[in-house]
Amino acid sequence: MNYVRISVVFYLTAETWGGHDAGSHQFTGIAKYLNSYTFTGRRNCVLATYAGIAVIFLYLKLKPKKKKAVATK
Amino acid sequence: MMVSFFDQFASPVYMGVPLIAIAIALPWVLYPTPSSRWINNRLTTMQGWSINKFTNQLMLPLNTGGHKWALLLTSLMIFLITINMLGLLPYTFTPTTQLSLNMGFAVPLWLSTVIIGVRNQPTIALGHFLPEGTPIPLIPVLIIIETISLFIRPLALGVRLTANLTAGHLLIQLIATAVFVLMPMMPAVAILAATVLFMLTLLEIAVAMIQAYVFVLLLSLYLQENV
Repeated sequence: MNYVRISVVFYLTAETWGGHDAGSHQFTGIAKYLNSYTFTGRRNCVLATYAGIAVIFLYLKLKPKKKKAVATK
Repeated sequence: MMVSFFDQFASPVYMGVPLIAIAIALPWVLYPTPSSRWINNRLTTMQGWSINKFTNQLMLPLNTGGHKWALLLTSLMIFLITINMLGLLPYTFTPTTQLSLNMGFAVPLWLSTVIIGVRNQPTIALGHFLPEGTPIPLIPVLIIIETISLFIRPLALGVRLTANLTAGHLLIQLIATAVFVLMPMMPAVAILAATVLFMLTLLEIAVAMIQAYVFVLLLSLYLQENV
């Protein structure tokens, strides 16, 4: 009974006070790193979004421009 | 000389001396310095009690690291509320109608909260860009929205205070002018306008206090996220 009480208190404490990455053990695969529930997951999502925007911007900036064929007069 | 309704917002200069310096320094003269006596007079006691009460209320949601900001936030609150209230007196200049002053408060204080967050807890500071429990398809959109809202915060802080004070003072001047003009022609309408003016003045007193409080409260909320 005391064991159950302690584990419930620990669970409630971790979940209520948002203990660092509380509950991160339940995510598997890519969701462990990219999710919207833990601080680490949210941080990684933010960094991934910024990286994606940077990649798109660099691609549009650096892509070779097609030269139009000059019409012969 | 053309007199416009916006002349009241012109920063006063007399013989090359910017009088806004006096307008900003004046509020401090109005508050008595607490003495080293064990029991002060009624005014000093009330002043101390109200400042302590306000500071206690403001610091409640903040952790110990945020308590270092108590002096700054409380003095900012007293400064803004005094300037706003003094500006409601006739023929006075209100420094907080100047966007430069309000942005001068908003931008450095907001930026310092951001720098504190990025320096001390970068994961949590970055994590705030994505609300907890966001559905996967909305993640990139919300991150962009939250980033934009972060950078709009100092602008909103400064412009909110400026716009509220400016609009209020302008309305008071407009309706007061209407009362003066209408009094010889249509006294009944002038009395109605005077009633509106009275109620507007009461509203502006409330707005003066509320806007000062909102400014400081929002700064404490931004600090709460980052400290």
